[in-house]
Order: sequence, then structure tokens, then C-alpha cells
Amino acid sequence: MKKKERSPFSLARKGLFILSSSDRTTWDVSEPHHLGHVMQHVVADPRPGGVMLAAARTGHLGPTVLRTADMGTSWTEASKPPAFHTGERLARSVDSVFWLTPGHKSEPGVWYAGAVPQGLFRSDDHGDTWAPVDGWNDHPMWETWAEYPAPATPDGAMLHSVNVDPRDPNHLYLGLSSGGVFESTDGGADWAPLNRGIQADFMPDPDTEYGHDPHCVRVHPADPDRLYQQNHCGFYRLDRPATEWQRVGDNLPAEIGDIGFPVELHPRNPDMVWMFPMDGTEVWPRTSPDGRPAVYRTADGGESWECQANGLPERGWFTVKRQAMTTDASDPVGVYFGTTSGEVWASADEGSNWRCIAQHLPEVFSIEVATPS
Amino acid sequence: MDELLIDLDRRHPGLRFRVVDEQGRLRQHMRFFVNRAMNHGLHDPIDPDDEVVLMQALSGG
Repeated sequence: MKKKERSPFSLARKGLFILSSSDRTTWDVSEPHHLGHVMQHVVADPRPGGVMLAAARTGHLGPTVLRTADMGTSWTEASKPPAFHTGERLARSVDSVFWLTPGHKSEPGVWYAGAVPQGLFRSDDHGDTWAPVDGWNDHPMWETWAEYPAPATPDGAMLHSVNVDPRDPNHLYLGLSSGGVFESTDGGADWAPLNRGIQADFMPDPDTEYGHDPHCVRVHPADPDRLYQQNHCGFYRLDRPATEWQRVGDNLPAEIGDIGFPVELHPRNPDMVWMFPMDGTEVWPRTSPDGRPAVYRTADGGESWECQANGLPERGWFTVKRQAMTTDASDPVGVYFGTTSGEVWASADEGSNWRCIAQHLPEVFSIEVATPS
Repeated sequence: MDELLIDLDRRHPGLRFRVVDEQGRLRQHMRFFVNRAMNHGLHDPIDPDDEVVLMQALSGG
């Protein structure tokens, strides 16, 4: 039986590229889709009959969501892209769609989108029409949590890391850069901060309830009580129902540190996680510490970490952004990351060995895996 | 002017939102020229014989 073709999608500043392989050894790189468009996030729906959505805009045209049901052969634009209510009190408008998350498996067709500024939007029809999630966007604390309209992080103040509890469609987590992590247990009608234990060394009160800067937050699909967070101030784990994050990044070597953007999960083992350390010292170059690119993996929930650099360049000065690392569902698991210098690196053995499978692409914003059915 | 855009959007669904945000503001890198004069607002009147050009600064880099 022919193996299903695996296709990591590399989303770049100037278009979408599809990397495909049937054996994870030989890779084809597609021609660009939507060349010149800023493609921030493309996600394939894992639910039966689902579509693939892409968050797109250009420098001059407003933000939109593109949809394909045939793995990118043909695309249609959302007939009602994510947007705030016209005439609303704060007169907010979506600058870009930053994040896409398929909804719960019991709710086919439901998707969530996070935006710049930090709005949350929901579609009930496979991404064709979108509506604001009023419980979040109009929450009495939103302006405070989102620090609106204060000057934002370099790419804008974004809402990211929308996570749906696989046991409960009404249990949601999201991350604000900046603002912190927030949780809803009623389908997004109400929200509460979930930041205890997270350091915020840039705030006057380091034990503040919100105002943190999570870079990436992930809920483990096989153990939804296990959360990991790569934060501006370290790498954390949270085991619910506890509400205090533990800085397991302290177990990384001190000269490497635990600053980075992405968190990537093993699809079946809640204790195995990959992160990509970057230099968060001095003026924050955000390149690998000492210019020596390396992935770090834990197999025990962050209690210990292993350096995985075999095959990576001895010196390199790129950054791996928060959406630019992913895994496939194979055994052994394939791990992939894309760089700001336009390369895609792949490991077919859970990070033990790395190979460059694409180069000379534009800056990679995100990378996701889809396995055609 | 906005009526013109709404009509264009009827013929090319989705066009208006890429040009005008949800609060009715012309997006940053869009400019209307009416009879070759710039800075026409979205709510300014236009005449049936006016020539309207929507210029877009293809920003990026």
C-alpha cells in the first residue's frame, strides 16, 4: 500500500509553499501559491470533510481568509472575513489574521481565528463567514488585558495559541502577545487570566495577574490537562487543575537559557516536547545562543533536556518564529522547522538528525503538516 | 464614493473589505483620485461623469 503523502506547508512572508514527500527523504517544493501575499498561518482541518484555511493579506489590501478543499489546487476567499462589529465603541479594525485553529471534533465546520489587534473570531461554516466572539472582544477587561491601544509588539499586538480542549468544546485557552494566557470554560462567553507562576520581568510587578508575553501555548491532545508555554520570560509547564505554571526551562543549560518562540508537541507522548532556544540576553538578538542553532527536546515533561543539533549548521544566525515549528503523526515522529532566512529543516527521527529540505524561500512565518486523506 | 464601492462589491464580492475596513475607514495604502485630484474621501459626492481612480501603494519589501 502506498504511503500517504506528507505535506508540510511553509508559510512565508511572500506566499505559500507546499513541501511534499512520500518517504520523508525526498522532498518536492511547490511553486509559490499566492505569491506576494503575506501568508501568516495555513492550517488543514483534521476533521473528516474539512478544508484548509489560510490567513492572508498584502501590504495594501486588507486581511482575509482563503479556503481550499483540494490541498491548494483551487482557493476561494471567505465571503465574510474576520472583522469587528461596524460602529463598535472602540472602532477597532482587524489589521491581520494571525492565527487559525480548527474547533472541536463535535463541531464540524467550527474554526477560531486570532487577530491583530487581539480579537477572537469564530466561523461555523468551515471558514466562509466569521463573527466576533463578543465574550472576548467586548469583555469588560479586554482593553486592560490587551493594553489597548498602547504601542504593541513589533508585528502588532496579536492573539495567538487558540487551544480547544479535546474533551470539551466550551473549554478554550488563548494567548495574547502581550497580555498573557486566558481561559474560558463557557465557550468564550467569559474569560479569566491564567498566568500564575509566569515571570514578567519587564513589568513593575513581576507577580502581575496579566500583562505577560506568552509566545506560544500548547495543550497536549493526548493529555489535555498538560499545557506547555514558551514565554518571553522562560519555558513553562502546567498540569491542570493546578493554576500555577512551573518554569521547567530552568532545567536547560544556563548558557543556553529557555527563551524562544515555538513549542512543539509529540502527538502521542505528553512528556515529549521540542523547543528552539534563542538568545534573549542583552538586546535580544533572537538568534540561536552563540549562533549555534540547536533544537532542545525533553522526554520527561521538561525535567531534563537533550540538545539535538546533528546536521544543523555549526553557526547560523536565524530565528524560528512561534508558528514555524511542527511535527507529523508518524512513528517515529517527524519534526520540522522553518527559519527567518528561508530554510526548512526536517528530522524523520524525532530530532536526532536534521536535513535541510528547502532553502532560498522567503522568511518563514509558519509551518504546518497535512496528510491528504 | 462609498456607493460606488458598494456597487463594485456587488459585482466583485469581497472587494470593498480589502479596500475599506469594518469601521468605514479607507485602508492605509489606498487613495482615491477624482478627475486626477487626490484626497477624495469615502463620503464625498461624485458626479456621473467623474473619472475615479483607486490608487494602491503596493507596500512591502
